[in-house]
Amino acid sequence: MGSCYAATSSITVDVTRSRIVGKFEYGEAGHQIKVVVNYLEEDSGGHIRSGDASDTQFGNVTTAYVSRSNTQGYQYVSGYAVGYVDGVQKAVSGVAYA
Amino acid sequence: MRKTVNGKGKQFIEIIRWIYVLTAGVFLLSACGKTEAENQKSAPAATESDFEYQFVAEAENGYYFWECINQERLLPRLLFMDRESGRVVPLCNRPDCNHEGEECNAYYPEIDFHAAGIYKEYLQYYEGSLYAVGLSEDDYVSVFSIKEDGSEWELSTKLYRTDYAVTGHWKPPELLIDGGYIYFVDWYQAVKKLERIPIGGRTSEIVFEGDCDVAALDIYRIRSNGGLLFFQVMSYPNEVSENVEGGLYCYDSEDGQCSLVKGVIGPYSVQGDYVYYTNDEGLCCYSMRDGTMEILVDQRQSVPNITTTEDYMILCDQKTDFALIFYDYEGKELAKVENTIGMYWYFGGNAQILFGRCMDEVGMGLCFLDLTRPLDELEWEELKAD
Repeated sequence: MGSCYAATSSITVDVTRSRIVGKFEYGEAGHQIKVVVNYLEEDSGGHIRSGDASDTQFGNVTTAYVSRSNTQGYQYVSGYAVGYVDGVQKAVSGVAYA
Repeated sequence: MRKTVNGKGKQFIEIIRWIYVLTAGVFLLSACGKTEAENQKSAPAATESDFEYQFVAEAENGYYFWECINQERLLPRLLFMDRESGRVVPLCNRPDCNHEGEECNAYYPEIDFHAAGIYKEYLQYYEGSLYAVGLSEDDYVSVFSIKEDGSEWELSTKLYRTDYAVTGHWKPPELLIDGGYIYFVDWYQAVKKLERIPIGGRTSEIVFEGDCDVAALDIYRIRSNGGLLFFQVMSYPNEVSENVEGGLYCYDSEDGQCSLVKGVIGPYSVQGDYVYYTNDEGLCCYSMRDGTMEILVDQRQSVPNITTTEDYMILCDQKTDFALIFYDYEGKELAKVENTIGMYWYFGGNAQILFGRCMDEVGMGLCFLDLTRPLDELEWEELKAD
């Protein structure tokens, strides 16, 4: 699991061959909070491609959370997460490998 | 009158026959197992650039690419690297611009599932313009054209509608521009097909579609070489991911026909009449003209990427250490370049330079390997704007 801490936020990403999970916490409510997990996945023929999955929260919440399972024939290779507050990037996790 | 042959004559004929057989055998043995590739002992005559992905757009005088988002760079820009000097600058022609912030011409809005924008992991140069992929205001996966000097950009071609705005899950299309057409694969479909649409056009046509009865079908690794379009097809007959079938196909726009080149499902590289690929047997070379195959490196390869240049066959194993192994075209290992820069993704390149993405403490960045240096001096370097 890769992680990186800013002053008032934390971001984590966890990757297995079949699932990728990203979580971004921001220490203040009332903002638009968004987490994006950028991943690489690989098929049976060794072809690697990218994709991303996002979650956005508004209002009186402090956490954005995204979880995505693999699609048929594909396995996750690696991924990292980016956290945004009000559209501005606030944190980037390290790369986690499946 | 029919001639007869006596005993001495028979002996003489037998000797002549054996001399003939032995001579022919020597010639056959010397040719056996050798393809034209081996006989020429060098790379194919016309070696083209060999990018595995369209992250770096190669133009006549340099390379264009997107900056990576990281803790130091919150607003990634479009950059240009001069081929001769190696200098990297933001693609902005505004006078007195400090190239920071959204006002800079090198900045483009990011794709977001709440708004239209550019997906900064695709870029191709074609006939004087740059082409990027993104999302239109009305939720179409689209191609945007950018002027070579970065002064203007606009929506060029809508490809297909996506539910990205609802799901927040972005799957970029497999895409290549060639011969005035945008060839693309809609990755939101389970059973995919290869389509093409004229640049700026509105109606697409199907180039290739497989068996509709399979559970899933993927099409990827679209490459252009020698006026032909190559792509791979992977078919999943049922829900179990085993028993996959696939192969390398070729599309000839002259006659509109697709044909199976070879049952290659792993990484490949096409140069001239030859397909270089890896499998359990090793690194192989297939002659499309002769239909012959030769194993160049007799060692099982673990799904690496392949880049072929004028001088080298380069393998990169993205599943383990990201080290690059350089071979000559006889299959002799020449050098190994270690991953000293935190490689994350290898993109390929040409005879002068290779590109990739790396990760350091501030986040993702681009890196390059200068192939004009001697083999024992090769080392990955960070790629940053001045």
